[in-house]
Amino acid sequence: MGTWSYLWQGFLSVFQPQHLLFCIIGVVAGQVIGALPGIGSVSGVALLLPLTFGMDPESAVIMLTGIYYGCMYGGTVSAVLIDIPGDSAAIMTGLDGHRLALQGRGGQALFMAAVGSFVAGTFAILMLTLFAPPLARFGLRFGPPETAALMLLALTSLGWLTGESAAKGLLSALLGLFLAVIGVDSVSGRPRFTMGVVDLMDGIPFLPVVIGIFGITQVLLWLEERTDWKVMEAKLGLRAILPSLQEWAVSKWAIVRGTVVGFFVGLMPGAGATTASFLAYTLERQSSRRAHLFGKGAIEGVAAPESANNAAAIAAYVPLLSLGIPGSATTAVLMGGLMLWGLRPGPLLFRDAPEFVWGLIASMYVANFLLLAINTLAIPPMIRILSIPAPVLMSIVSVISIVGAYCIDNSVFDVWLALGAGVLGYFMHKLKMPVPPVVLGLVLGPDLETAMRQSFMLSRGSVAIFFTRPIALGLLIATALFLSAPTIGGLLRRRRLAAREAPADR
Amino acid sequence: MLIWQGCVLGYWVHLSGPGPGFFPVVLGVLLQPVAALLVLAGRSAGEKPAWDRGSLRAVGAGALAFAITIWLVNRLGMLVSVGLYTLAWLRLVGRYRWPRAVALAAGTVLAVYLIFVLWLRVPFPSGILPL
Repeated sequence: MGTWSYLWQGFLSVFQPQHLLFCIIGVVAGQVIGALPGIGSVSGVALLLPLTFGMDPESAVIMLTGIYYGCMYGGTVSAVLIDIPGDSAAIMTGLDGHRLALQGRGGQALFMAAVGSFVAGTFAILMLTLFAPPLARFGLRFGPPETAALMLLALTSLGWLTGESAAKGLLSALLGLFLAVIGVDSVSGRPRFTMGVVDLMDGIPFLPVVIGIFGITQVLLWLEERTDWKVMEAKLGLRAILPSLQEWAVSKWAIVRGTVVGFFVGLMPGAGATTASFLAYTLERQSSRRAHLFGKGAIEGVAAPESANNAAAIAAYVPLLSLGIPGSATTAVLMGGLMLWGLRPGPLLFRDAPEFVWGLIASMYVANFLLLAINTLAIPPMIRILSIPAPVLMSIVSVISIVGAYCIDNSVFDVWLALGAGVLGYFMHKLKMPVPPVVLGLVLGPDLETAMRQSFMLSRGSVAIFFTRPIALGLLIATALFLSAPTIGGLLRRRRLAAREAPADR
Repeated sequence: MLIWQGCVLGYWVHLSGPGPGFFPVVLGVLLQPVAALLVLAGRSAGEKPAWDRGSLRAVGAGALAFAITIWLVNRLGMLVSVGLYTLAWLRLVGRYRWPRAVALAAGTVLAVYLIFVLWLRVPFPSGILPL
């Protein structure tokens, strides 16, 4: 069977009433979660994962994808109307979007964001349909050394792309890997770093940590700041939100550029929707003839990052589904969830569970359409949900964190772990250490260790195995470049500064 | 932050056997330069401490509330302790009046009951409630 017949099968599966229902629930929930300030796509997916345990894996992943995807749309609403981005991927949208709302053109901003997101999403899903299967076939040729090198690449690139400092990113990744080491060693059966605690013998379970580090951390951070928010009034009937012809004209290319930038940034392991929207906004401002309008209410400053974050959100699925490497924190959480059902994302998934993969891909097409409809026709009811007061929202988040962490394994110990992770996450935020690398390290840790050990067994202890196989070598070179890029960049900057200061001294 | 770095390093360096210890040691070796780099960066920047006493107290109280709730789960049951948590939260943080706080907390408990007990059939510690 070729790609298209598989995709057709996928559509048949999505249009089963049950799957369609969960797709709708997912996108609506995602839209709401994305729009609510304070909980983003990662926390949304992490907090709602336990809810999906009663479902069959396909419904579950369809719903979770809908949530992830809905967040990309939903984050825009609060960025534009409250000036608090509901999701980190919408930070750039808020810059111009909120200015537009102040000028009474918030509706247009939202409409343009929805259209941009739809175009970008559709493009990215098409690319995913076309390129993920060949990439997966390529991935099948990977042996342990290649897998290990690929994971190293993902971990290092996530480290420096998400944080301000590469060293802090690396430290987070190492912390995640260390947490993954805890528990009984899978080869020799010896407990490691358990400090004699029986509950730790099975290792640190992934989900409680994620729930804690995103859910509970969020509550703690909020307790410190105690911000509340107010939704701006805006006319949001369909007729009032249609952009003018001139706005279409300036946004058209912004959407195209945002889509392309977003897709390729999203493909890179580690760089997710947030990075993509930053880059797209910067690019748009540099290439625009109306650059002076940026930051003052340029509608293309909304269209570009919004297109980019949707394209990137989908693009992150390419490495996840074809190579088993999550491209962002949210896909890392999704991967952790999939593994609970015994579905290992990676090249084998396309071969062993095609109905699952293609059902998922088809559900993205459907979710995209649903969200376009919601975001052009049903914005007013969405906004009403935003008026939920912050203290109530935060108490709901904490309750879901506690109950969710418990019901993964019906274990109170997991809830303690979640609390520990929450406190850890709080301090990491305070120290400006990026959190996603920890999650990625925790998910990839066991596999990375296995892959490395297998490589050394293959090579009888020689490191050469990583350098003599072309794919592994290429990936390692890329890793080295990623690691050295910030340092070299810093050196160049310092030299330039020095050069600038030198004449001033004279 | 520096002290914390030191602690992490101290834990790292020991081997727990040639096979199983291999990966931790690789991690430990990698951690040294990264930590050293951060220590140097921290020194040269002379950063202010990232938190002050007031915010620490607020966060500590929050974490303590979580801890008490979790501790109560095995004694009073999940539903009761979660309800108490919500009630305390809404009264103390949200500054809601009693009737609204009680109503909201009851609503939360009911929602948790419907979703997790009736729909997902999660076996909660029932505690003092005859459920």
